[in-house]
Amino acid sequence: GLNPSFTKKGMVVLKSVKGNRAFFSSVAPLTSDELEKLKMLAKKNDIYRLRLQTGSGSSGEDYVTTYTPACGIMSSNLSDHVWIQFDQTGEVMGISLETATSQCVNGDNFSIQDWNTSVEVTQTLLGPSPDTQSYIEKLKREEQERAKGQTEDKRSFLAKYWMYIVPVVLIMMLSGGGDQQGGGGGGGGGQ
Amino acid sequence: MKKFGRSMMTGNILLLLGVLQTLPISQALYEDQIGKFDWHQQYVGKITDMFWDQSFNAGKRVLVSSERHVLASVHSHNGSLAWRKVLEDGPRGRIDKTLHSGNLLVTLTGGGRFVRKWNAGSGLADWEVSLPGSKSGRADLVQCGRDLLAVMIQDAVYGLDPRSGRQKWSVALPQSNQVVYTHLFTSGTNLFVIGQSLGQQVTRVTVDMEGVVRSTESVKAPWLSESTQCEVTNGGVLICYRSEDQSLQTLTLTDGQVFKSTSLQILGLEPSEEVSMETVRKVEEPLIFLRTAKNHMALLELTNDGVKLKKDLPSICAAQVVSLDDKSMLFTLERIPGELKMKVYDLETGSEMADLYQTITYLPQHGYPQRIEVLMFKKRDLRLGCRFAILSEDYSMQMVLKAGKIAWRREEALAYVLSVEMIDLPVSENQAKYEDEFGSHKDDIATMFMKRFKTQISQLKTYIQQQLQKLQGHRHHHHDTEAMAESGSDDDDEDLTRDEFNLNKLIVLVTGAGKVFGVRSTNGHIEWEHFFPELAPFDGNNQQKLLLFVQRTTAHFPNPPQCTVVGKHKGTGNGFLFSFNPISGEPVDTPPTGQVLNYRITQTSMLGELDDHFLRGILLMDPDNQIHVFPGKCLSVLKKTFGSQYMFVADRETGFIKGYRTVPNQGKFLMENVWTVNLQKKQQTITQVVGKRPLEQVHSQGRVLGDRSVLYRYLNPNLVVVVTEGEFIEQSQRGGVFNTINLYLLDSVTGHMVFHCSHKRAKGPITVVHSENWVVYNYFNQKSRRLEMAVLELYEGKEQSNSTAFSSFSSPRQPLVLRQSYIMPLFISTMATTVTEKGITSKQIIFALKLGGLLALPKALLDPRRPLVPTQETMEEGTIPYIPELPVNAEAIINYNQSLYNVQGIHTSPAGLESTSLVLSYGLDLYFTRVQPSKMFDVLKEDFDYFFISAVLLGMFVVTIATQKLSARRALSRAWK
Repeated sequence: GLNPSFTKKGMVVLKSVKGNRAFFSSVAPLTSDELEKLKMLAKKNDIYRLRLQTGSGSSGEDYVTTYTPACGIMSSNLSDHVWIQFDQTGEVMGISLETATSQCVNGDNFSIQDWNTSVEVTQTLLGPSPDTQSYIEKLKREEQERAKGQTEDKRSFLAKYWMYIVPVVLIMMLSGGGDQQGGGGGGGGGQ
Repeated sequence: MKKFGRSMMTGNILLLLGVLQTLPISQALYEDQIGKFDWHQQYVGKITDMFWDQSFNAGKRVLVSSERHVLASVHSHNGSLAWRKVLEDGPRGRIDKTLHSGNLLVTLTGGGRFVRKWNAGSGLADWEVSLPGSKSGRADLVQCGRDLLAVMIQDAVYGLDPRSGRQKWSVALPQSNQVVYTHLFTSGTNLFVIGQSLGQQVTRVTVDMEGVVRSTESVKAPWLSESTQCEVTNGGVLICYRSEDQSLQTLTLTDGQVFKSTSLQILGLEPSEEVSMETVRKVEEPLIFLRTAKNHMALLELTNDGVKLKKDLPSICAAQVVSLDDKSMLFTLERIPGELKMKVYDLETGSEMADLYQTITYLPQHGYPQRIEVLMFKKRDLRLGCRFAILSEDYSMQMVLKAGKIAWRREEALAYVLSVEMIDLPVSENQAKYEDEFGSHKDDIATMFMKRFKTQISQLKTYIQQQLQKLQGHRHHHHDTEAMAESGSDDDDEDLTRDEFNLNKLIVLVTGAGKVFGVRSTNGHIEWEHFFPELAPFDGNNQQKLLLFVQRTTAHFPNPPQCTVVGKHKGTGNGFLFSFNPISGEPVDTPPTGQVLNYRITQTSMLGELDDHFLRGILLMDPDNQIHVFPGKCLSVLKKTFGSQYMFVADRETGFIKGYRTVPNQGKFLMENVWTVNLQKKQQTITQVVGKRPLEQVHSQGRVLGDRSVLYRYLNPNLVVVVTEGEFIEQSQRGGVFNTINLYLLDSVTGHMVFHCSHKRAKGPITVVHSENWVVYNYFNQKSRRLEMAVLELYEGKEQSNSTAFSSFSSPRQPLVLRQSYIMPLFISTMATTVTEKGITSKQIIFALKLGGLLALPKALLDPRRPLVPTQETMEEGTIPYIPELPVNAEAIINYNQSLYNVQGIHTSPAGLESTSLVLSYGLDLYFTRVQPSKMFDVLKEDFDYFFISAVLLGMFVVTIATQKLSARRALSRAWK
């Protein structure tokens, strides 16, 4: 409806923003009256709202709010998952609510009254920055490797490439030898 | 990227080669392709000062200076720019005063920071002097005789040599911390500096030509207020207009001791809200124009006894006093429907000079003329002649060279583009008929058959005609186009039909001047234009916005396309709508002068579904959270789909972002607040909210990794990026205040914060590009003093939650966010990403460099999966090894040598070809071109060798037949054996 009414659901106890988990202590199970209300909401395909008080609660500015289809609350058997977002100074920025499914099921004989709420917290992360450090390190490493490669290879030209040179020389020698032989043979024929 | 890394490369050298293969995106043009796909238009912005060039180009050029920090020289015969100087951005480049007399052209810019003398012929700077500048931003410049230029800034007056710029003297002004010095004036052998103290007095400092303060006097002026306008006229009279009691206060500078007051009513003038004064410089008499309305002026004469009405000029919208051979003449312009009437009066006798009277054809879409600048000359037969330039309300400049005709016009409103859409052109008549079949539902089979038959016959006919034309000769056609190019822009009556590849569009440009243009994408010529003097942009945080919605595209023949401009009414601040057919420019649904709403607009959105006539309605939210639908006929669509209409409002003042859903309430629709996010106004201010392009086409749902598994993309169409900028105080020993920027990725339906990160010691201005599953943004790193470019990519993971439809309620709440950052070696003013028809082509990001280039880099360079150390797997995936700096190579500059200044935005639009994306960059210049991020994979190259291919094909065919015959014969002979 246009004028939503809220009832206290519980308190979130947060030891440190750094960890991802927070503890949720439920104040009371749903009264049957509230359960009826929830059923009505689900029937009308209306929304279930949740708000988190961050200040004294005297003005609208002290709350952050969220919502989810009421059907989802029913069909996931009152188990919901709450996300709270904090900024880096630890101020609450937003809240959001997730249920296992958001499909609607017939909730006429729905009777669970205990909430099963889990809370997860996220905090503003540090944005990415150019990774020059490791790139330079990588370059240095590559340079070192290259330098190392060069020191290893400080053998003479012959020592390095003898495996290529020897066959070439051999082939040349062989073919040259053949020519000489052929020349010799020819000379012999002339005699 | 191209197929990279498919081959089994190993080793560092091969890898490097592979990288090199991918990087050069050879966008470069051949020299003969210049201007084939692109066009460039240079503007100067709203002209504030205009002079006829008096140097050797006398009468051939007009010198102009504009509020967009431009000094330029315009050829008077065709309106093209002889030269243009774009001065610095921001307050440093603001032109305080332009002075032109004889050969001297001097500007004072940046609140008295720079004095520059220009060569009026070439536009080169002769000298520049840097001064301390004025704290109040007020500065003035006058010429005193041949040898002295006097410059006034807040606390001193400087005397400069006009030839060299050498400083001759300087003199400090008294009480400069209490008095705001506003005017500098020279009369006889003295300089007068006028200072104002609000509510108290006017200070007059007299300085002689040698830079010695002669006297400092103050005259009581308790009526001085913020809204008081003051001017100094020739003959040394200070005249101030008080809007509170509509009176003029005058003071003779040489000897006056008290202000004399004259009320407008005594002068017989009707007071109004918008009174302004325009000085008269070209004659010696103390005259001034008073403007009481857009079309009512009065010429006042200032005497020792106060103000005298020299001539009342009712229904005159622009006037100027010009003298030639000691004869002073008053030129006046009156607007009558379709024409301008120019009357000239002899100032001494007051009689009209009938031989100079003329009427000029004038289009109503220019609004009222505001200024004229007349050049008088004597013709050969000693009769008087004149040519003049007209500046109008719509920022246009028009030139009258021969009596009665506008020779050319410059639409300077195009330097203020705020919104752009590219609209498909309608299909040709034939194809339209074809589609007509599907448009109507009532026909029976026989008529439908007849229709089909007829259209196909006519299609065949046009096809044959086309072929015949082709055969008849290419040359003839070629000649035609050349002739057309020569005859100029006005007469291209080539009708607007779609081309084969749908590459040509009609570009709708909405400008901050309140003018809407339809421009051809082929050559940049204006097809239609509308001017709304009352249309103003929404503004906040120094960002101006005028919204342009495409309600119906050209695809729904026979329904015409429809666009709507949403803005603000200048006077009341209420909503202002204008709806039109983007192809013809004709108004639809709204009156031709636009529709003023009776409420303010706090948020707008479009309906999710089309109505029966394929029209997409616009939702307008008023301050009472009520929803209005435009046009009213789309209300039925909202009635059906209100359950899925969400909106959100980011409030800069409070730092709250509020999400709303639509609820019906007593026959109306209201927006109900359902989620709230508090972005802590104490620490930061919301500067940007960037959503995705609506109806964006994403081809691939995932990304194939090196091990052949798929990483699914997080494609949330409701995701918006909210950027805030703030300051924080360092806690360490050094302390100090640093800037910080924060990025929030919000789901605009549920209010869930998908991701948030911050950059310390980083500063804006920030440009965000948000597309598909990634966000690219730039910021200035204060610590390293460089521009950095960061990228966030969102993935659902290795499993997809819902492959058919996306719902904000059931999507994964915490997608995988990959992020990486790079160094951008050059400063940029804005950036955008390319879009293509189906989203198959890889994306490019186009950066508008401050140097004037448009740099197109492949998105693959801004990929957070770029590995530092490449492995076999990453090569298989096709990622480029990480290098912190983004490469800038000259071939990636898509506007080659056509430098673009002050680029405000880049608009990209898909073409009919998947490979091609159309790009329009706007700002001071308009530049249109095409890019092919993955090269032209769907079109044969121009130099494709048809002959060779067909010869080979034919040859193969012949060989096949021959061998078949041969083998058959052989088989036969073998069978006989």
